[in-house]
Amino acid sequence: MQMFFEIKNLRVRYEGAEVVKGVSLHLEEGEIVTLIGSNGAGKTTILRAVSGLKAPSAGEIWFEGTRVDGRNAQSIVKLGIVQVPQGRGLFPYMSVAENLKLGAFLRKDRRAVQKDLADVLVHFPRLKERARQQASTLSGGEQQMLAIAAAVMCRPRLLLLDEPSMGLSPLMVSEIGKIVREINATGTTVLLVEQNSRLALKLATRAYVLETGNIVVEGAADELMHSEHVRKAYLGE
Amino acid sequence: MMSGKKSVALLCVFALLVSLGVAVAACGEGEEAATTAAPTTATTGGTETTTAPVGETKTLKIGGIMGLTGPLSIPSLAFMRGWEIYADVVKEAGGVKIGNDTYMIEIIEEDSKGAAEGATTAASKLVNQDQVQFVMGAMLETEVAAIYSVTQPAGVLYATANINIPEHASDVSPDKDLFVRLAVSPDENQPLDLDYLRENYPDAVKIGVSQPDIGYEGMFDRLKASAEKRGMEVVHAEKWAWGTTDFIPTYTNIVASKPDIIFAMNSGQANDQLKAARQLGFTGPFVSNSPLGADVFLVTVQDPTMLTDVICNSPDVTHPNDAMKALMDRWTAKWPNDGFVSDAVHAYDIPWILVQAMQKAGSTDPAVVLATLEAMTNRGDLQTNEGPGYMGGQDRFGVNRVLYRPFPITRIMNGELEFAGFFDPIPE
Amino acid sequence: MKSFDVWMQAIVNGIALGWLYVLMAMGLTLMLSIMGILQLAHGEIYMMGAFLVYYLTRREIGIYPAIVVSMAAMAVLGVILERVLFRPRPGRDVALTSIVISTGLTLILSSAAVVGFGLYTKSLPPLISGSFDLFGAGVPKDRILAIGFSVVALILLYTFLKRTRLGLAMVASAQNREGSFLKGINPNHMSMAAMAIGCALAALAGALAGSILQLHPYMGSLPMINGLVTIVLGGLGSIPGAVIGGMILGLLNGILPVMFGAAAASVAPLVIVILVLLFRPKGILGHE
Repeated sequence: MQMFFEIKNLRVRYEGAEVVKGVSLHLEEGEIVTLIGSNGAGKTTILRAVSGLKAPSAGEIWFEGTRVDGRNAQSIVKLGIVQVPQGRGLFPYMSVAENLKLGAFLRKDRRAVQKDLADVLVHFPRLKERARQQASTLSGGEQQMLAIAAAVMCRPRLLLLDEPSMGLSPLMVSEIGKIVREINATGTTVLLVEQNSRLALKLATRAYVLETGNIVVEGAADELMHSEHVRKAYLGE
Repeated sequence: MMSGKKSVALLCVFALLVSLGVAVAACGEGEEAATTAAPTTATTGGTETTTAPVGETKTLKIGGIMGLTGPLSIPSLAFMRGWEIYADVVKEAGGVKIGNDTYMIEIIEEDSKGAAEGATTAASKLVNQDQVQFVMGAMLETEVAAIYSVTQPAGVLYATANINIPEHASDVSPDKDLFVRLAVSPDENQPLDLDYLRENYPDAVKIGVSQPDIGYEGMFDRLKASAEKRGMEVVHAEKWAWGTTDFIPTYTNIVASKPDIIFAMNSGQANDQLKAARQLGFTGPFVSNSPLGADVFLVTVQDPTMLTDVICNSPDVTHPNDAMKALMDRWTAKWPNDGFVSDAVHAYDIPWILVQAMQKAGSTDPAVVLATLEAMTNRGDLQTNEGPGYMGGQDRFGVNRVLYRPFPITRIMNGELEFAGFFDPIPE
Repeated sequence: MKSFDVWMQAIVNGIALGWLYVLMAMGLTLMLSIMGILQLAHGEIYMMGAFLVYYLTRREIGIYPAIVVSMAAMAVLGVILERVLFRPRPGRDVALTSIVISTGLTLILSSAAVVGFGLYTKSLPPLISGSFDLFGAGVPKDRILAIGFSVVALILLYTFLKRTRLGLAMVASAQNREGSFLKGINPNHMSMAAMAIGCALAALAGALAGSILQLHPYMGSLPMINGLVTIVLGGLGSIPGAVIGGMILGLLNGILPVMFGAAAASVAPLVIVILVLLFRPKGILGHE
């Protein structure tokens, strides 16, 4: 059976050092899957390889039967794989509205884009209030909302989220969690990379644990929540 | 860094291609010159030549330095071309006879890049590598000093082309050996211009002056004195920074002083200055006493309403004398795509005068040539393209090491050149 | 105290000069912020644009169509330069190599210009002749016209960057390069657009300067420096900043020589730049 999204034996090097050492993972359509692991485990590097920002040294990436590794970032976005990077990837001196419009840069259906923009602003009332403000003037949580909303404007099939909870207050973290669930409910598959493993495991159906470039544990999220290793290493218990 | 190398390689290939293009263009130019220069006869000047050499035929190398970069690049290039034409004339005449030998003239040209360092490098190369005994050229004061510091210790005679240095430390003086100025400073024509103004614009008495900030004070004082002597008055003097391209600021103040006459002291950019003066509403006579060709005004200023009552001291290409005519024909044959630049007329004079002195001395020894030159002080002792010349300067500089020769005056009226004639310098 | 006429003339001239700096600065700042390169040969593009207008007008083409053709031609040249010389290649320091490449390009283009165009100063036909009465002071009409053209060009550019999809994408890629990749914005297209627009503006500035001043193969070096000073003053990447920076520099260069003489005028802009950088290192309207 054809997998929705699959990474096979991915290896990535940075200046000679292998950061990702043969990772394989897959996503079924409609899932939320999380990739957890400590800082420097290689999570962000995997997402960069998927988005075409970093060429892998070996391995394959498949999306709906198409091999996507080695393609440039633009063609990957065109296929529907959209990433919200760490640090949010916003355009700080452009307005909230402009950031949202740029999210739909590749879409040619102007009318539908207008409609989506209106929908998004309904969903994110805070962004609506601040539509004319510069992105850099928003709070951290609002910026994260904007980043996710801009990604949604692209109508992604697969949404890659890199550390959406980073630097946010607990209240904001749960708000973001709610948003991710809502997006998933509309049919978007989500690959969530998180250091906040508690949040990640709560949101996800399945999870992979990455340690120094290797997947060490994988399984259903609620199972991992109870695994000895995960509890000790990632949930601080 | 593989790709870094690749891009450098790409750049090299690009550079190579451009150089190749340049080389091809230059070859083409050479061929053209060879075929078209031949029919023109050696009528320029009256160089004494021998068609059947008796003694040995030798080559006399003369170094020529000019700055092909910066605001003086155009006259500099014209200078080099004037020299090349002189060498061609000598070659076609079968050489020049000096003493018992016949000499071909080879002019070795170097670019000073318009700076002292470049001038030093060029002079050192000429003196040490090419072993020249004579060096000529350079129009900037710093270049002149740099060249002299190389040529004098080597026993080489240096003939400067700098016209801006009368009475400066870098000018001729009794204490400076092996140094002559075969270029007339424009302050020698100031009295001629003022006389011309008195005669043709009797009501115009108030003068506004523009001068570059490169030590024109001495020349300015002479202008002021000459003006007062004629019942005229300098009402405003404005200095502009060397390298200026926009003359509106300079002329804002000059025009605001409401002069009857504007006198643009020796500047190769007098055409741009005229434009600024006219744009700011000045309609009176405008004097340019630099060698900048009156024809250049026509080509560059274009607007006939601006091109009226402009008085120039450059050779008038539309009214050439026989010598100029021959020179211009050779230029056109050799560089058909470039308009004639009249600085070539003065440039040609320099090696020609050196050779006249060598012929009189019967020697190519720099010290002997200098001594002979210093004694050629009667009008007509030297021939120049502008008419009878002589060496002078005893009264003003303490030594007869400066060329004097007639000055042309041309007036531009309604976009047309009116040639007034050549005038002998008057002592003042 | 100088008269009103003198002040007016100095100010108008300063503003005209300032707008030429702004046109140069816009190209430099677009290339610097979108491509991350310092295009030191931008002055040579300005020079070539001006010479192209000169040769076109000699072929009986009116000056205005000639300027448009020259802008288009320089835009194409910009695209070619981006493709051949400035396109980033993995593993090489973009900023550093661009400095090396564009320095080489400066030498090649100016030498080629000396060979191709000759060392003779040339003039474009005047855009317009005579002077204009501005509150009683006579100011050269060509300067006023140059201001007009520059302002129109800048308004068009501003509208393009603010209102069009491509323009917004250019601004975006200048503000967050990687973020723009992740939106599917092709950085190479943005670079080409930046070069094309920058070179077209340089050609316009060159043509205007060539018409009010003069043409020669080395005409580009001073405007290049003034363009750089303008973006340093105004703040990198800011259009209003470039306008303010250009006006400050232009007015200094227009007024100081008239009020205080040439000597003071040549040092003052440098002093101002140092002062601005001392108290506001990011420039007047710069970000961080």
